[in-house]
Amino acid sequence: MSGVLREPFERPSEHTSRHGPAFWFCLAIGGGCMAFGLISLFSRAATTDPPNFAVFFIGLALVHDLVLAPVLIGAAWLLRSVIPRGIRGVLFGTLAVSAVVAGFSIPFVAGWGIQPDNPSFLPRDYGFGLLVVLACVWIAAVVIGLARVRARRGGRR
Amino acid sequence: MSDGPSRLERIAPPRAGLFREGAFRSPLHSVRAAAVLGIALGAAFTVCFVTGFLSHLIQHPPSFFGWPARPAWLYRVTQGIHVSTGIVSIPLLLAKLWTVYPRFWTWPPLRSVPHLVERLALLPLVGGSLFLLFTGVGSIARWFPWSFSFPPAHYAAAWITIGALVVHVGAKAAATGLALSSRSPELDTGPVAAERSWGSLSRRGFLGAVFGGAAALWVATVGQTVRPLASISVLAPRDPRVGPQGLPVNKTASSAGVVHAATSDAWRLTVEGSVPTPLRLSLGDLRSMRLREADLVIACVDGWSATGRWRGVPVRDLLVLAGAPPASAVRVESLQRPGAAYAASEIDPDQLADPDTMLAVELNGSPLHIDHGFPVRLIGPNRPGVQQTKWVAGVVVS
Repeated sequence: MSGVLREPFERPSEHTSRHGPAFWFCLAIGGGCMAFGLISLFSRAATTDPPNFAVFFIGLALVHDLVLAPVLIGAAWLLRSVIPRGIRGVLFGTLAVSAVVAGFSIPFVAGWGIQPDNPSFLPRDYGFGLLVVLACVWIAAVVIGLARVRARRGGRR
Repeated sequence: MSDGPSRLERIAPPRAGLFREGAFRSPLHSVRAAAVLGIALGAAFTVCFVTGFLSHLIQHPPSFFGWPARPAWLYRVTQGIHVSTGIVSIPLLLAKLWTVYPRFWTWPPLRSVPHLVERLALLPLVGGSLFLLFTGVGSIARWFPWSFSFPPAHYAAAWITIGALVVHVGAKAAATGLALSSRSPELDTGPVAAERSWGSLSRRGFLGAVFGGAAALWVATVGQTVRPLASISVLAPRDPRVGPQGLPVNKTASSAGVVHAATSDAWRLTVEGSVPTPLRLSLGDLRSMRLREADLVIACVDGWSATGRWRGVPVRDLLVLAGAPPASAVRVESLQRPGAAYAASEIDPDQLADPDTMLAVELNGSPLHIDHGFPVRLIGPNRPGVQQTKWVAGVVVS
């Protein structure tokens, strides 16, 4: 069982990384770019506010790795037991796309940056716009799901 | 390159929880999925970096850099690509992080010095990528939940992230090539099995959802710069058809604090500095001069753009009138408080020579709306919107 399902990532270094000359060359180039970025950050500390920069730079990574991803894994694990296997794949994909689109549109729908004296900024009804995009995504999902059902039935004949 | 356990593996405690072998059974964590997403994301980030660095150079030109006036649409395209590519990178990045998430829990966490270096470079790569996309979206939404200034912070983060990406490419290029070319079952044992078992999200289905989501976000926003798509880009923060005189506004006169000075009868345009004949012109004086008309683009750093028909006096004509020597350096100053963001701009010699680089007095057939820079604004081909200075008070020649 484990031989079939074991992921390549379970034994990472030998399979997915190479630490030959190309790695050290890229490390030198990339390290130089990173050093330039840090110099740029600290040389303009009055405007870049490095402590606040670090809060977002490191905080976003931690929020993703320690909060968002585990919550999604848990949610997927719970949903697996209640969603019929036949629609699970399409449903998970559609939910994921919907979540990303909704997440992107939050500041627009909420209008956090709205400028009362500038009606040309955020001129649309973004709540309605989000519903339109989600409707398109779910219609596409239904079409794909039906096509898969047809293909499966065809394959059984 | 041994297949046996390393010394660290031999002395490491037994694996448990998320560190347990087989803890991640989803078929989406394969090397092949990671390779496809990695290439797409690497390409997208490279495009964003190049176009963003170009925008930085245009706004903060070093002595060796000159930005041409033609083609007039070039900045519209490069900055439009910068923002729209950043937006489509969001699903690509989240999918890539999902695909490689098990590696976060790899055991033992360190296998060798190069492995340590490679893992250390993941923090600037992951943190920087999330930082760039989060702050980029916040910026186009004008939502700033941070205290740093967006442009220099975004710029510094871009260098850190692209550097970390180069390190990552150095470690993964061989494996990525192998994953895409090899038929080795070891590279996607899970996904192949899953694709055969109808009902779960296969690797192809997963990638289809990712790229479909990216396409949905692109269509939903790109109309802010691709006018034919404006009506269907329902999540775009701008509509190139909406605003005073049919054109969007970035900064209003009231927020710039110039309403009184811009509408005062005492307003005059001055042309001074290293010129034998300094000028002091009223709006009537400017209107009585030979006006030029041109279709020119306002292309904002936020990624939106819109074309208007502008009428005004070519800056070079004013310089001739003042007797300025050829190839002079020119600075255009606004009524805004000196030192305020974007209160002045320089005109590149190539831009200065272009007759369409003008001080406009009309837009789309009527006098400028005050939010478009009444009484006079600078407009020129192939310039970022922040350099199309509004509410012009003076032209300084040096």
